[in-house]
Amino acid sequence: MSFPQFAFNNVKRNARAYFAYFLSSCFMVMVFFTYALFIFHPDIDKTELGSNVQMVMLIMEYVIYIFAFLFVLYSIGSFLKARNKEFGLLTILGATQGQLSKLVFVENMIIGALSIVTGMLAGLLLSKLFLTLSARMIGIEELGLYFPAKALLLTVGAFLLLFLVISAFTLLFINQSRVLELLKGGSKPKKEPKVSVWISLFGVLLLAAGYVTVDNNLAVAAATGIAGTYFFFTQITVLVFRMLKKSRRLTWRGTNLIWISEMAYKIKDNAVILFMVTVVTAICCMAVAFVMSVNVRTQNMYHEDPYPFRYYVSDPAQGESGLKTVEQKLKEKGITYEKFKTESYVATASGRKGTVTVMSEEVYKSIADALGLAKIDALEGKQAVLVQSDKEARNNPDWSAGSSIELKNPSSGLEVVKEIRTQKEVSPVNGTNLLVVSSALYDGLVKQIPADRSYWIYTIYIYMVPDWSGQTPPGRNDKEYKVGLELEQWAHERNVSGESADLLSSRGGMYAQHEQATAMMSFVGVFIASLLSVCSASFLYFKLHSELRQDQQIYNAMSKIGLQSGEMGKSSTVQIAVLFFTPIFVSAVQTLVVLNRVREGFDLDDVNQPVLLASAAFLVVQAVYFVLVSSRYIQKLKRVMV
Amino acid sequence: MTEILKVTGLSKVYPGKVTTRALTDVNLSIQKGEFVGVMGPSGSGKTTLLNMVSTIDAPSSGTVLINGSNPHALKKKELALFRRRELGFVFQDFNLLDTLTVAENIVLPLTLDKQSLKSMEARLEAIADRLGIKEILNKRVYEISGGQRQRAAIARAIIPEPSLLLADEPTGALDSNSSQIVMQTLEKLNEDDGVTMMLVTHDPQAASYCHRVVFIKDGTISGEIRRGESRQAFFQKIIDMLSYLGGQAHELSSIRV
Repeated sequence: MSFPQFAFNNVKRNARAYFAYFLSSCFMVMVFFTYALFIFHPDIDKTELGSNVQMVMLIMEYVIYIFAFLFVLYSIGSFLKARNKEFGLLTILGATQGQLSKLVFVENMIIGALSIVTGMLAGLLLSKLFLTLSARMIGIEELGLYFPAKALLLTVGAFLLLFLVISAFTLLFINQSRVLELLKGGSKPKKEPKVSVWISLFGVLLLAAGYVTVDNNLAVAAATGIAGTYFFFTQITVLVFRMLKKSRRLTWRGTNLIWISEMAYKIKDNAVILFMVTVVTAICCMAVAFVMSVNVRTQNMYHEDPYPFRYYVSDPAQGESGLKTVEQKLKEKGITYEKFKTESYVATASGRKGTVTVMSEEVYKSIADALGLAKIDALEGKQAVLVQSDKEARNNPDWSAGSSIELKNPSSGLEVVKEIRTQKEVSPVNGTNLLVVSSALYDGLVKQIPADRSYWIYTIYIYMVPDWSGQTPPGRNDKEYKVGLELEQWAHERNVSGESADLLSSRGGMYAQHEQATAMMSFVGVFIASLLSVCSASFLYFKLHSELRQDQQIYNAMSKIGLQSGEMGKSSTVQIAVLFFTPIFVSAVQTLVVLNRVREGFDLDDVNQPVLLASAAFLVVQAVYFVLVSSRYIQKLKRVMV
Repeated sequence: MTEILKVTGLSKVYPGKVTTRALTDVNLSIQKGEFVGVMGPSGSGKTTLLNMVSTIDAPSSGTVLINGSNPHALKKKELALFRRRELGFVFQDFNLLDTLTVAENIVLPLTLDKQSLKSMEARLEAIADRLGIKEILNKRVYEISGGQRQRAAIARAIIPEPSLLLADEPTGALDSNSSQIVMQTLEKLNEDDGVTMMLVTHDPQAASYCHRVVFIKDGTISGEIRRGESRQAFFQKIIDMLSYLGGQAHELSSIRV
C-alpha cells in the first residue's frame, strides 16, 4: 500500500463521516458554478434587468466564497479532532509529523477534488434547467445553453485554491505532543467559558448596539449583533446549566442527570455550535422574511393605488404633448379609458407631519364617480371635507369631522364638516391626505401662491380603465402589467434625456418593477438560504460525529448497569434536539426584532407574518434534518447497548 | 439459607468459522451472604461465566437463576431493569461517567428509577459514610485516585441494594495499597451488611478475601477451596491450587499498572 493509497483508503472507509461534509461542499460548488453560469452568460447584459441580476449574483459569489472558506475550515478542524486517537496511534507506529501532515493534506485534497468535480457535473447537468427556471422566475428572456468555459475555469480555480489554502492551514491543527496525550486517555473537559456580570453586560451592550445601529450602518450592526450573539450563547448556556445542576430535584430525575451533565460537560463546544448555527439561520431567516415582506408591500401598494395611470404635467406652458403618446399607446392596445384633469396644491397644516393636498369641490365631484367615492354637499366659506385612508389617518389622529385646521402657506382656517374614509389612497399626490374646499376658496388660495412656488400646484391627468378592477395584481401577460411597464420605461427615458420633466406613474408598471425585483431576490435567496441550511445541518452532523465514540463508551457502560435502550434514546434525543432547535427559535426572535426595527425605513407594512412564516419553514426543514440525523445517531448508539 | 445464584449445566458455544467452546456444563451455587471468588487463567472462561450471570450474554444451554428467577427469559427492556435492581456491577476500569460528579455517579441507578430525592440523598449519605468517600462526593471523576474511583463504583453498585454484587477484576487497575483498601471495603460490606458477592479475578491476594474460591480451566470447573480461619493460609492454598492446575506461578501474579 503506497502512501496516497493509504490516504485514499482512509477517505473511502471514513465515507460515512465525510458524507455530510462532502455533500455540503458539492452543493456549495454547484451553487457557485450556477451563479457563474449566469454572470458569464453572453446574453445576460442585453437587458437592464439582466445586468441587475448579473450584479446581484456577483455579490453573492463573494458571499458564497467567504462562507465556503469558513465552513470548510471549521469542518476539517472538527473532523481532525475526532481522529486524534488515530493520529496518536500512527505517531506511536513511527509516523513523523511530516508524514501525518502529508496524509491529512492528501486526504483533504482528495475530498476537495471530488466535491469540485461532482458539484460541477451536477451544475452542468442541471444548467439547462436552471437557466430556464430562473429566466422564468425572474421574468427575463430565456437564456440559451452555452459552453461555460469561463464559469468552469472560475469555479475550479476558486475552489482548488480554497482547498489548497485550507489544507495547508489545517496542518497547524495537528500537534503531535497533544495527540500522544490524548491517546493515553483520561480526557479532561474543556474549561468552561468564563461567566461574569461584566461579560454578560458587554454582550447585552453589543446586542443593543446592533439594535440601535441597524438602520444606519448595516455592517456595524451585523458585526456587533454577531459578537453579541456569541456572548449570549457562551454566557447563557453556562448560566442555564449551572442553574439546572443546582436543582437536584430537577436534575436527579430519570435520564435528566445524564443529558444535563453531558451537555454541561461539553458546554464550550455546544455554545460555539449553537452560536454558529444561529448566525447562519438568522441570516437566512432575515433574507427570506425581508423578501417576503417586500412582496407583501408590493401587493399592498397595488391595492392602495386607485389610479391605473397618472400623468404629472410639470410645466403647463410646455403643453401636453406627452399625453398624446400615452393615449395613442392605450388605443393601440385596445384599452378603453376615461381621462380626468385634476388640479390641486400641496400645503402644510398645523398638527400634521406630512403635507396635505387641497382640492376644489369642482374637481372632486368630477372624479368622485369614477373612483366610487362618497358624494359631498355644496361647501361654503371655510368648510372643508377631509378625505383620507386609514394609513394616512394615523399621521394626524386628531383630525376628524368638527375639528378646525390651520392651513399654512397661504394661511387659512378651515372647518372640517365631514370625513370620508377610503380604502385606497385617493389623493392624486402620493403620501398626502386630501382636503376638499369650495371652488371659490380654492381659487382664492391658489392666487396667493407666489410665482416662484408654482411647483406647489399639481396638474395631474388621471386615466381610469374600467376593465381593470384593481382587486388582484396583474399577471406577467396581462395588459396592465405590460403596458404599465412600457409607459414607465418611456417616461423614464424622456426624463433622463431631458426631453420633458413630466412624470408618469402607472399602477401596473410600478407593480411590475417591484415584482421583478422581488422575484430576482427570491431566486437568489432561495439558493443561498438552502445552501446555508444544508451547511448548518452539516455543522451539527460533524459535531455529533466527533462525539460518537465518547458517547458509545458512556452508553455501553451505562447499559451494563441497567440503562434501557429507550432511556438512552430519550437522553440523546433531548441533547440533539436542543442543538437543532434552539438556534431556530433564537434566530426567529432576532429576525423579528431586526425587521421590526428596519420596517419603517424600508416602508414595509407588516413584517411579523413573513418572519413567522420564514421561521416556520426553517423549523420544518430543520425538523427533517433532526429526524434523519438523530435516528442514525441513536441507531449507532443502540449497537453498543448490551 | 436462600440460594441467590444457581447456575445449572451452563454451556456457551460461540459459532463461526471456528466454533469455540467457551464453557461446558458449569454448575455453581451461591448462597445469600456468601463471598465467592472465581479464578482461572486467561481464556479459561471466567469472563464468559460472569457475562452469563450478569445477563450481558445469553447461554447456549443451561440455566441461570438469580434469586429464583431466570433473567434470560426476560425481554431486553425488562432485562435492563433487572440488572438495575437485582445486580450490582464493579468493573476493572470503574466505568464511572466523567461528566458526573462522584455523588451523581453513585445515585445514577436511583435517578433512573425515579426515586424520591429525599431517599436518594439519605442513602447516598449513608453509603458514602460507610465507604469513606464523603469528602470527595462533589469532585469530578478525573480529580480522584484509582482507589477512590473504585470505592465510588462500589457505592454505585450497592446503592440500589442488589441481590448480587458482581465484581470483575476490581483490583486489576489499582496499585497494591489501593487494592487492599478496595478488598477490605468489599469484605466489610459482606460481613456487616451481608451483601452477596461474586468476584472474578486473577489476583490471589484479592481472592484470599473470599469465603471460597472456584477455579475454572478450559471452560469447566476444576476445583474449589474454602477459607479457614486465616487469610494468609488461604492465600497460600490458592497459590498451591493454581500451580496444581498447571499454571505457572508468575503468570498468575496480579496485573499491575
